[in-house]
Amino acid sequence: MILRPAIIVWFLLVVAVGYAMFQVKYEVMQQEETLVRLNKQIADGRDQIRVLDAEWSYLTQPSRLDRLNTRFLGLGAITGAQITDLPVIPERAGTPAALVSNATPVSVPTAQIAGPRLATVSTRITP
Amino acid sequence: MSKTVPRDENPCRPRHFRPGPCGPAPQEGPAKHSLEMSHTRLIITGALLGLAFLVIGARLVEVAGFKAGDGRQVRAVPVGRIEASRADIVDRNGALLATTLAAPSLYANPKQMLDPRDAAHKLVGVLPDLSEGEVYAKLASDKSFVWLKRQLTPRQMAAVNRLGIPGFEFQDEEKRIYPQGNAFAHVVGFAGIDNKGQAGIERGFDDVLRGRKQPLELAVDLRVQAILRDEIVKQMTQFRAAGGSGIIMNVNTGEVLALVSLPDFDPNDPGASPAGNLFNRVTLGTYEIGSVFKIFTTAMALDAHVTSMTGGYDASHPIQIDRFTIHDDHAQNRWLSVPEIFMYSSNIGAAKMALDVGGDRQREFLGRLGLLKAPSFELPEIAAPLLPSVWRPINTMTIGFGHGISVSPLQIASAVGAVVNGGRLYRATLLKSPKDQPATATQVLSAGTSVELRKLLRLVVEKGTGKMAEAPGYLVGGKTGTAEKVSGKGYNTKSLISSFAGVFPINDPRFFVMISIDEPHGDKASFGYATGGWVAAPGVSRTVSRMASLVGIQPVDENSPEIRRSLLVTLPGPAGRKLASN
Repeated sequence: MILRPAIIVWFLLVVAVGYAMFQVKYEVMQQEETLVRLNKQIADGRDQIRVLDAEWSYLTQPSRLDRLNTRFLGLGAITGAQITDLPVIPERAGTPAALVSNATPVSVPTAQIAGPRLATVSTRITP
Repeated sequence: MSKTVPRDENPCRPRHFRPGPCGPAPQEGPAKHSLEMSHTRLIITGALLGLAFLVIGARLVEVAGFKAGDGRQVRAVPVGRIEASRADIVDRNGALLATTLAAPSLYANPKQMLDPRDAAHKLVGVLPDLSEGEVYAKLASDKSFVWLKRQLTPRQMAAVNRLGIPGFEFQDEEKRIYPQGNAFAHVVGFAGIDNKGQAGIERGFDDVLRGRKQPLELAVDLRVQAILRDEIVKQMTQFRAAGGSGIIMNVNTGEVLALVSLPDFDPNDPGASPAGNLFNRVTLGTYEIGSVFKIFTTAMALDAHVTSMTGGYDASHPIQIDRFTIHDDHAQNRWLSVPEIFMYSSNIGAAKMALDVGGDRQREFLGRLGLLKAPSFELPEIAAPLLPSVWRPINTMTIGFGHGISVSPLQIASAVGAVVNGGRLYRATLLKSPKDQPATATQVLSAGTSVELRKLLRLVVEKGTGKMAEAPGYLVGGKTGTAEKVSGKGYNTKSLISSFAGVFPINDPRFFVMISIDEPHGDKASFGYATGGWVAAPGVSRTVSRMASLVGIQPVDENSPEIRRSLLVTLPGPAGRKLASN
C-alpha cells in the first residue's frame, strides 16, 4: 500500500489536534479546580470577615469602651467649654521663626519628665 | 435474405446471458435504473454527512470563539457585598447592630460510632453545657441521625473537629448575632432560631430583611443610644426606679436617634430575661405624662389666639369640679401670666386655659398633632393612646395638664418636635432618611406660635421647674412632667412617672430628648423629691452635653445679646397685675 503524502499530512494533523485538544481539556480541568478552590477561599474569607465585623462591633460596644476608659485612661465627657471656633483662639505673636528664637530652651532630661507614658522601653537586652 | 446477424450469434447461448459491461456499458432498462438510484442515495448520504460536519464545525466555532464559559458549572463568586440569607442591620454610621453568621450544627450518626461512651465523654469535655448521660444515650441509640447541639461557634466547631471522632458531622446553619447586646434590644428586636423576626425591626421588617443583600440602615446612632441608656441607668440607680425610657429625635426629619426602654434584655438570648423586659415603654407603653402636656395646651391656646404671651389666668384658688380638686404643686396662689403658668407648671392655669379653648378645639388640635391615634412607625410594638370615652369639660381640664389621656413617649416626641420646629409635623421613623430626599411634613400650627413656645420652654430651664436640665452652651429648653400612676380606680401618690421633655438648641431646634423614670424614690440629694425636675432633668442635661459634639452642634454663649434677645420673655413684675381677677 502506498501512503500518499496527503494522507500522511492529514494523519499527523489529526494526531496533533487530538493531542492539543486533550492538553487544553486537562488544562481547563485544572483551572476549574483552581477556580473552585479560590471560590471556597473567597467564601471562607467572607465568612471570616463577617465574624470579624461582628467581633469588632462587639469589642467596640460603647459600654465596654467606657469601662476600659475608666480603668486605663480616665477621660471625661467633652463639655461645651472645650469646644470653640478657630477664629476665637488668639493667634500667637510673630512668625514660627520668631517663636523658635523666643522660646526658652528645654533642658529637662527626658527621663525626668513626669507623667504617664504609653510604654516603657527597656534598653538592656538580656540574652 | 440479407439479414443482419448480430455478433456472437450463437444459438446455444442462454437467452438471458449478456456480456458484462466493460467501460460504460450500454445500459438500459432495470439495470440503468438501479444504478442511478444508488448514485442518488450516495449523493444524499454524502450531503447529509457534510451537513452534519458543517453543523458540528459551526457549533465548534461558536463554542470556542463566541460563547466561552457558557453552560459551565463552575463560576467565580460574584464580587461585591457579602451575602447571607438575612440582611445585616446597621446604625446611621454603619456600625453593625445585627448580622448573620454561619453557625454549624453538630449531629451524629450513631451507627458509625465505634465507642459511644468514650465519644460522649470527649464531646462533653469540649462542649461543657451538654450532659454526658444524654449524649451517651443519643450516641448509643440505633438511629442513624441525632442532633447533638445546634449553632456552634467557630471555636467550638474547631474543638469538636480536633477530637477526630468518626460519626460526628456538621450541618451548615445560620445564626443571628447582635453584637451590641442589650443596647439596641428594643430597637432591633430579635429573630428566632428559624431566622424569623420575633420583635422590633427584625419583626417589622422581616420580609425586607429576608429579601435584600444590602444592610438595612437605621436612623439610630450607636453612640447617642449608648449615652442615653447610660444616663437613664444612672438616674434609675440613683432613684431606685422600677424602669425608665428615653427617646432622642431629630425634630427636622422625624428620625429617631436613640430609643431606650429599661429594663431591657439581651437579644442574643431573649429567653434569659423576664418576659416583662421585652415590653417597649417608648412605643408600646402609654402613660399619663403629666405637665409635659402643658406644651400642647399652651401652644393650642396661643395658636387659637384665645390668650397671648401677656395674658394670664387666676391661679390663686384650687378648682373644684365634680368630686375633684385641681391644685398646683408649685402653688403661687395668685394671678399668673401665661409664661408663669408654664414655668411654674400651674395645673390651675393650664386647666383654665384648656377650658377657654374648649373641648372640641382641644380634640381637633391634639388630633392634628397625632396624639389621638396610634402612630405609624416601623416597630410592630405600637400602642394606641387611651382617650376619654366622652370628652366632658372635666376631661378638657385634666387633659390640659396631662391627666386623663395616655399617650406613648414616641407620640410626645413627634408632637413636641412639631411644636418647636416651626409647626411642621414629621412622621417618626427608625430608618435613615436619604439626604437628597427631604421628609414630608404637615403644617400643624403657625411658625409664630412655635417661636413663642421655644421661648417658654427655655424659660422653664432658665427660671422654672427644669433648671437641672441646663447644659451649658447648648441652650436646652423643655418641660418637666410628674404624673401619678393610675392604680385601680384612682391615682397612687407614691408611685410616679417623672419625665423631662427637652429640645436643644432651643433657638434653632435640632433634637428632642426625653427621659421618663418610672417609680423613682426621692433621696437625700433630691430632698426627697422624685419629680421630673429632680429625677429626669439631670439625665437630659448630661445626655445633651455628651451627645452635642457627636451630632455636630456647637456650643454657644447663652449670655450673648442676640441669643438673649431671641429668647426674651417679658414677665409681669411684682407690681403687675398681681391677683387681678381674670
